[in-house]
Amino acid sequence: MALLQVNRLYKQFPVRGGLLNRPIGAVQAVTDVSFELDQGVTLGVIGESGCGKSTLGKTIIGLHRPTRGTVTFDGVEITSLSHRGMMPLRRRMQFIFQDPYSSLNPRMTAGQMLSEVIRFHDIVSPRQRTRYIEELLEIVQMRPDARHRYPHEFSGGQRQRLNIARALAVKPDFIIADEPVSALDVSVQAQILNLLMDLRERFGLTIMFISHDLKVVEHFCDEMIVMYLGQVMERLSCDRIQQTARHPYTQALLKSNPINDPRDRTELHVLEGEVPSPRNPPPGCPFVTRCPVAESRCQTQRPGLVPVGRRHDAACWLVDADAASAVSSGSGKTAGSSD
Amino acid sequence: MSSASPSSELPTAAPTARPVLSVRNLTTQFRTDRGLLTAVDSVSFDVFEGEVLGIVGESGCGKSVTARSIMRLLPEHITRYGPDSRVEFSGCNLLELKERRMRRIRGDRIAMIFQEPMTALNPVYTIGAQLDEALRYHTSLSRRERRRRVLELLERVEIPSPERRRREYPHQLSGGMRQRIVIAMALACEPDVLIADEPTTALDVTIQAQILRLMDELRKTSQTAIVLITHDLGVVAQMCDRVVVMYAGQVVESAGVDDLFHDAAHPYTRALLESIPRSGARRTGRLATIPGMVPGLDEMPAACRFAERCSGREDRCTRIAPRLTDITDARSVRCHFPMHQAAGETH
Repeated sequence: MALLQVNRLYKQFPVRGGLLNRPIGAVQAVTDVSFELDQGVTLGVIGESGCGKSTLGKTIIGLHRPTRGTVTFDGVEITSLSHRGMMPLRRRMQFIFQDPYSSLNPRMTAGQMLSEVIRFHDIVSPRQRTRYIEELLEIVQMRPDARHRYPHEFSGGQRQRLNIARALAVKPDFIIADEPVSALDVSVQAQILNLLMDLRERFGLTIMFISHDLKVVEHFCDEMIVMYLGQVMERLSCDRIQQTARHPYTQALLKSNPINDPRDRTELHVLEGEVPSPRNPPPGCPFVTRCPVAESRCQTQRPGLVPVGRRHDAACWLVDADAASAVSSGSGKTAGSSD
Repeated sequence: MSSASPSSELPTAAPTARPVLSVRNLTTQFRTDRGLLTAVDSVSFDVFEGEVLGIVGESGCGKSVTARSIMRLLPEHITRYGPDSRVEFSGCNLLELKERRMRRIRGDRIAMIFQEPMTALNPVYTIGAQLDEALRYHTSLSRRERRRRVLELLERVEIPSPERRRREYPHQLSGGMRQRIVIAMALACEPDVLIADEPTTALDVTIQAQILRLMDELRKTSQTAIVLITHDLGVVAQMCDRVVVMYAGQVVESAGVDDLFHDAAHPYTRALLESIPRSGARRTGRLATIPGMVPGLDEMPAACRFAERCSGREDRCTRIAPRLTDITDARSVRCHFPMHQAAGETH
């Protein structure tokens, strides 16, 4: 059974305005997102800024209350749990933030910070605490004496190691990492990615890895979901995405991604236009305003996420039609496509 | 066994061309509480008409200070340039120009775009007014001509409905659109040189592609020389003709882009290239990393600045500072034991 099941999750934020600061609209940050995540799998969530990937992560872990939909973790529906009821599960789910600076308390030493989490969740007995903290620091490849130091004494990479140590301190099963390497230089980024890969193997972690960087996701994750304007456009395996990506948006992301080698230089493929405002998304497919192959029905009807291959789903009328004619001619999914 | 050195077939800037901008022994120091700190140490490079020169390096390597030194945008009262430092542009040394004359060059002959477009835009004026100001200051166009030119510029940088956008304020535009406005301002005077400091770092990839294409068009149509400062080697691979790699305030390697990616001579360049995840090569295992950290400005080693982190370090590296040495006409490297193929053959 899947460790995490997200079922038709919606998250709206009210937009207030006017003289009385009344709600005058809503931002659709996450719209109808469903997926399952098996134990031990690393799932990448990719998309451009404002696509709802961070909100999705925060809603799953309970930092936002969903507008609709459910999240089930290890068989327990956590969206309806009280704060108290959530507590034992919260220990098993941890979050790593993008900014290693603002996510650490500047007035606490590394040791105090780790100690606080350990004490709160009662992970080890008070007598073993110091030993455990040193062990944690060693796990993230920091010196044991780092526990006496304050956040400002560390570099960006070291701070992110500290964040990872704090997440691991409670022995979680599941980690949501929101752009954990985006603020770091490439050589440091490589160190942190290697560390996360080691730890994933060592502790059998299930990871949801939120990122805007396709190369990083491709390298680090098993599967990925591609989000656009709050919705999932495609879910696919990270193996050979260049060949397998079906959704026009995923393909556009791949083509806009900077190349590895100057010899691969071609005319830059450019996706025209910009992401529409999440306050009034297009009624049909969210990608329709920028899609190079959009048809008239894409303007009015929203395509659902449907299987287009093995462990591969896409939300596109055109991909659906192609897949249906190529894979199975008599699929019920294509009933509406005859017009 | 003598295979041709790949550098010999490399197309570089036409040898007869004179550089538009020439930086010579640029040393930039700051007076601070901790004493005089050297942020940029004897940096030299040339930029030719119609070419894109990349300056790459990680945070703190001095690439932005180099750009700001060229533009003289650093606070003068704490900045000191080395006695033999020169920034040669159209027959004068920019470092010695009076601020009043420098102002006529900035924006007009040398334009700069920044990572955060809001630093270059005034929040209380409309887009149209700001573009108009640039034209009024640097050209002799009439009011009506300027108005037409503003619309042309907005169209050129692909701003939708320019007649409406012209009357909007910066905060009403998205980040990508703001960056295009800044580029439009840079284009307004058809500068000889455009210095772009991390112009796409804050943008999404699809928007980044739009901005890069725009810069490429600018180079092709106006023969503008572009200095592109970035930490992103993918952007370098896509855009640059030649590349200068900086580490701890110094140039450690300069080469044509193809040589740099396929036959890097400096161990730092190699390590940097190996540490980026590559598309299409998933799960090849661990990424190569560079151990340790960049030394602080007040604790620069006297010998090789990369030695402490270098996998090929030898005794000499920690004793003698390597000099930036030409290895071919178009390449130079600051290393006692350069790693490129040609070096292996000559030994």
